[in-house]
Amino acid sequence: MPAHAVPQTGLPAFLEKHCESCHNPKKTKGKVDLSEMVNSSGKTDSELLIMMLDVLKGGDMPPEDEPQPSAGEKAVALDALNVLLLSSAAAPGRGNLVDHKTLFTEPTVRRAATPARLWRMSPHIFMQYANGLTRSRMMNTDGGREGGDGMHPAFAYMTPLHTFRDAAGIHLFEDATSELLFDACWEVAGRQLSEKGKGMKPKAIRAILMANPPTPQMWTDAIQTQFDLTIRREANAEEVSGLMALGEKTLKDTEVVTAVQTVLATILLRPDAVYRYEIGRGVPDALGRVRLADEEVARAISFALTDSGPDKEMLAALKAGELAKNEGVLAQVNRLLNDKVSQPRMVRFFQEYFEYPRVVEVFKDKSYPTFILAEQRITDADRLVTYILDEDRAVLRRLLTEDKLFAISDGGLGNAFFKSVVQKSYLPDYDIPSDWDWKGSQPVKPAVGRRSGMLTNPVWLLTFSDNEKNQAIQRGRWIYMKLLGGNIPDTPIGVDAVLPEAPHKTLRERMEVTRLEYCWRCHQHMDPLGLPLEQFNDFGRWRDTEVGKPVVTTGEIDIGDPALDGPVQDPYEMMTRLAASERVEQVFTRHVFRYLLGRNETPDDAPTLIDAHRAYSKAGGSFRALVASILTSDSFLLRTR
Amino acid sequence: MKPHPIHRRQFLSRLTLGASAPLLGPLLEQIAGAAEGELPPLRFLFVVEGNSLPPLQIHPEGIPFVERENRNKFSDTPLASLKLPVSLQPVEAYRDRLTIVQGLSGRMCTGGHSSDHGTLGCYAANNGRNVLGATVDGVLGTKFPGVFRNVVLGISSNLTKPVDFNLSASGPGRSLATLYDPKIAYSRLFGSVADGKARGEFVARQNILDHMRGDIKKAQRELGGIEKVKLDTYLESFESLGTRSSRLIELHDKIKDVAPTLDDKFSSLEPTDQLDAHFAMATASLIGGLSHCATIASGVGFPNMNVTFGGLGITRHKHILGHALYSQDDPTAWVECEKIRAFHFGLIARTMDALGKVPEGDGTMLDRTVIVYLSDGAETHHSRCFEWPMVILGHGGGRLIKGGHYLQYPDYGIPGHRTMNTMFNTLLHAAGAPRDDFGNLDPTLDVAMHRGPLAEMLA
Repeated sequence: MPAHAVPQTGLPAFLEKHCESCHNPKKTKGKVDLSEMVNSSGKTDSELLIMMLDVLKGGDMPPEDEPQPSAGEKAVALDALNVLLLSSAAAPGRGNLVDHKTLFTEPTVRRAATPARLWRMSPHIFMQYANGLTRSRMMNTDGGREGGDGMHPAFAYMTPLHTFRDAAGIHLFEDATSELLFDACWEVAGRQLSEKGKGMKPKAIRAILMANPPTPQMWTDAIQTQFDLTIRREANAEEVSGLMALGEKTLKDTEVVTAVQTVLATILLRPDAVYRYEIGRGVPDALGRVRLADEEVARAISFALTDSGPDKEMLAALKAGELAKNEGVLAQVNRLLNDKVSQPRMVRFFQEYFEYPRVVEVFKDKSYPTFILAEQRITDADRLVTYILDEDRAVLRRLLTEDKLFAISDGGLGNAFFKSVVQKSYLPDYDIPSDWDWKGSQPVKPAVGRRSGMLTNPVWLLTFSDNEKNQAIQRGRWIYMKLLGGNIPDTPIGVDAVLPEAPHKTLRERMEVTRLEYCWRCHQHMDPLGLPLEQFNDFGRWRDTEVGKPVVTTGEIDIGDPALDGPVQDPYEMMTRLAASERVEQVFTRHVFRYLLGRNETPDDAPTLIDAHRAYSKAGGSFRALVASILTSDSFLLRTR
Repeated sequence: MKPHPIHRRQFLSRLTLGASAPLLGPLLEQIAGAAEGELPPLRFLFVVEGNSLPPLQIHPEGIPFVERENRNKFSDTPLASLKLPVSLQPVEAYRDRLTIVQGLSGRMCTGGHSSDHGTLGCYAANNGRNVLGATVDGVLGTKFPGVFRNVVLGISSNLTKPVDFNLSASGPGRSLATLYDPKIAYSRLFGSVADGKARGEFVARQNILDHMRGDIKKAQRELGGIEKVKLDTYLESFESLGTRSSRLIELHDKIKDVAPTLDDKFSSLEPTDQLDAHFAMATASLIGGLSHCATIASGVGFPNMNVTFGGLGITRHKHILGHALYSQDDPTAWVECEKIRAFHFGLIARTMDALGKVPEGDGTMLDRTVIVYLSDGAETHHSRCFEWPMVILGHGGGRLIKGGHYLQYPDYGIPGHRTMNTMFNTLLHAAGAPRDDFGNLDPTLDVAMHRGPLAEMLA
């Protein structure tokens, strides 16, 4: 966790007066020592800051029997903590550190923009690009749903679990990945020249391969072709002569084909080929912001909605100067959103948000992963997402309350073995009878029990389970962070985070150990949200008993919002209340923003979020309207330097 | 071609260093040192096997096994009269260089299936999400680099996965790549000794590296400070790739002598073959001076750990074995785990044999090598890290105890208890880069339990 110097604020005095008598190096009550912060010379980490903000805000500290700070003192301390936390909030997974209310309060001046940046190509983009150049399926995403596996490792996602994978700020080519990138580009260039691959090689490439030695014109043509395919612009004279010299130098030691490969690979490795440039161009406005250059707009929109660069229509709009205006951008955004071409990347938002592709990593010793049919569960969940997205009404609400689901939605039962696995293990988890008539249309309502959206879908429940039990705590954490916009620090070092083995106890009973004061500080936010989902077992099957006792599904929402707070009887009541909440919609908006921008929101992005949420509501919960609003916002189109 | 003897100062003064100067400084010092006839740094091989090392599997016959909770004081038992357990029998010939260490704790790590980078770094890496600092192999590789600072090779349950970032790190947020594909690793390490077309390719690639440096510098100028870190890092990578590539050409003859034969094992999808190939490359890298610190990550982290050792006749993957180990009525799981472990120690013995045949100073390379074996899953399948069994082979040029010891530290938290940090301090002391503090602390233990080297391990 990055450490942050503590600035000179009223915080040290506050801590000294109200906290240090217990949290000093000798007492370290609750294993917390604040002496370094008091001295304001030391450093602290964001985990500790979150905890402090939490206990101060919630009134848990100082303890009731100690002198209490005045409202003013408390406000000063909270402000200081918030300032400290903002510097942490840019890190993936820490976006919620920015105060929610601030983000949805209209500022005096609208100043949203993104700092000028280079954004490393994502593995998905590289895959499309490599496959296109080589006229082949050189790479594919099979098994690559999480962590970049199956795609080229030079582009490995280094983002933490539970976050959107493609974060512009953290991905760069360093020693290890540059070497892998080098290998990848060398291979792509090699395949560009090989006889394999569909269709004809570009004319200039064919010509140069047949020459010995190539003429300067042939080199020029091949170089311009590669620039056109990769950088999407013409190479200037200096670039051409430099690359030609490289080709000719290499030709002294190798054959023509290797010399050409050398030149093509070098172009693929250029910084502007492996990074998306979002620099902006023109005269800065009064707030120091410039608009993305038109060609940057074309790429930014294309990569936000698809994994490919600008298509013909986009290039035409670029040429016609239409992308210089927001109306022109909106027209292109809407065109892509209404086309199936944007579906994979939109579905991937929901995959990463709900995290269900992680189901492939779940281990069950009594039922080997092949029998869980993890990939099938993902496909069925994707179908539910696209079903809701296609209708594009009340999208979030339906994702939280839909009572139907898809099961083996992509066709029949195939061979006898698959059929037997489906009948024995899959359908029961979906509460669909094993003798179900497969001719029925989907989605279907389960025959037993009741479902309420994605968090009660067997794929999600299985994802958040481990070998023998539900991960009620992790489920609660997900709801707290991703629907309510709260913060939970990582498990503190030294905590023995293992529930006691007690085969005759329910999970709820085993989780009573988290009620210890030190644990409950964080667990109070998670456990009551995760426990209503005890309605289902750790494979996602509905149940009414657990270890022979009637299942208890009560829980509580507590986020400081009267429209949400209060006890719930079961997951259905919880989901209905969450789905109706404006705050939950806003938190969802924040997540869509992160996915599309590749960064976390800052207080300056408030106007973008306000407009996006408004667009979503006004259009009756249209995801497309939400995305279109963000992609035409100042946050997306303007840059600061 | 034999290089001309050259004095360190002359050598260094002849070089004009670019952006990579800070990275290359220690390497150049060593090249100069070697030219003056100095001994190279100590060599280290870390072997990290996924899915835990139960303390009993490295407990010799002949003394009673004491459960952790009953270990009241430190004990040092000579191994001489004891019978090595099945797992360790392949290193029987090296029992006088063998030290078994029981009872160090590592509760500052995440535990569970794997402590990932925390295993060699002593911190909560949180499933590899938080690379909080350099791991001990990363520290050693940076301080005493060969052509490569570190060589990290490994296997995964996903047999076609070419690379991962799961164990070693050179600094905060800087995970090193674990190369899984033996062919990629071979071309990276030994590609310069290829002939014919492959040789031409090597030259071509060298030309790209030269050209790229110019391209990146131009981009830096054009962008005027925007995303400086990304471009600086990109340039640095190409600088160091270029330097490394030149060094590999210079060392051509030496590398050619040690490079393993590229046989079927390098393209096999059998974990035993892949591991065999990786050990061969790690050994050759150490002998050829390509690196002084090699690391083998055998199924480290989740789900890489789910390896099926079919080549040993085992049909269950290690995750299933891990769970079955708990089960008292499944003794075959225990036997299968021992078999897999013994396979690893067989490969370690082969490495030791090879090092023992190469003269160095007054002895052999083996005399100046330390091999460290442990699991990223500490003591059990769902580890809690109250103890972290380890095996050390080699005395590191006489800087560590000679071997033949069974060391058992007192239970967690009681006087005399020590943590994993102290083992890494010890290795760094032996290497000549002494540290008394390494990694993070376990807040429930006295700071002193983490500090300094293990006096009992130093000679």
